[in-house]
Amino acid sequence: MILAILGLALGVFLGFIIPVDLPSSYTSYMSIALLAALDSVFGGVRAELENKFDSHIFISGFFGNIIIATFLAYFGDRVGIPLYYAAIFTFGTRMFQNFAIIRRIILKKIEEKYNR
Amino acid sequence: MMKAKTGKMNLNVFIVFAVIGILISFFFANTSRDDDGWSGIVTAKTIYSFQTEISQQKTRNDELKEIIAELEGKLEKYSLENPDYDALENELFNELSKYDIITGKLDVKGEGISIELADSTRILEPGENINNFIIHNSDVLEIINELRSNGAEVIALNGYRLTWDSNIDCAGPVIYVDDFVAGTPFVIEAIGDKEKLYAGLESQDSIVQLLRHWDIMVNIRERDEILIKSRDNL
Repeated sequence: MILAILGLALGVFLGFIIPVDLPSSYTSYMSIALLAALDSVFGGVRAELENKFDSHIFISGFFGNIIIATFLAYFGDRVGIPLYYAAIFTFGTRMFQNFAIIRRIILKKIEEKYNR
Repeated sequence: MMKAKTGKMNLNVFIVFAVIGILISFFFANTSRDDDGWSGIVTAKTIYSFQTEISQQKTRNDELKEIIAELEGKLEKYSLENPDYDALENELFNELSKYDIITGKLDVKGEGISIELADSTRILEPGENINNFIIHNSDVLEIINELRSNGAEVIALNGYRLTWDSNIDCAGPVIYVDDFVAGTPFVIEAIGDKEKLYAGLESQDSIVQLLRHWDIMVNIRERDEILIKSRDNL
């Protein structure tokens, strides 16, 4: 948990000091990548709570999702089909689903503690 | 065994969150850095509109480059080693008179057409709207626009020279052109290629056909010589 926050802080710090000016036409890909990353994190949290966490699956899913989502968005723009909607829908719905499951597990844990 | 695994896992979590942090901060850094009217996510649609704008600007650039080349050629002609002053003067004078014609400071004589417009003399039948049978400022304006698009160089209405900034306004039974009051019958004179102007006005989809439909008298004459004078208030 602490490591996660530290990593986030380091990343934000790095992101602000790295002097890379992203062309604004690429920000849509960036947002898709961010969505994919957040989706993977939610998935990881859920798996951890279900005691099914596998770091290899987590890492490969994290980077794989980012790459595929970004590529899909880019490819869709080239071909003229808004393929990034696919990424948004998939990751969006999955994020909410994962959050629902996380919520249930945590609530159940709290309930158990309370009833004891 | 378990310890080693969690250590590795923690490193992975650290890396993953660092990447997320970089992504997020990139996003914020970039969105907050752009403060020239852009906010939010760039969609394919906005990119498309920007692309069309860019291509428009590119064609505009090409046009301007042509003009630059033309002007530079002119400049070269002026800055010869031993300039022919007579020819230069002549050329400058021609240019000056060209601009004088455009601004209306010079009297112009040439071939062209004259159009006479008069209100319908037909006796109205009950239920007919008189507005359809008289000439409006918009009719005159449309005729003048049609003349312009057919290549008329100089246009005058009832002897009043129209310049680039003339405006035509309705004033009840008469029409105002700038400060000049014009009443029926209107005589529009235009200097230019007389056959082209005539053909343009007599074509099927011309405003003249519509006016004739309302029994407005439109009389177009080709003339070999029209003199359009400059006007006083220039």
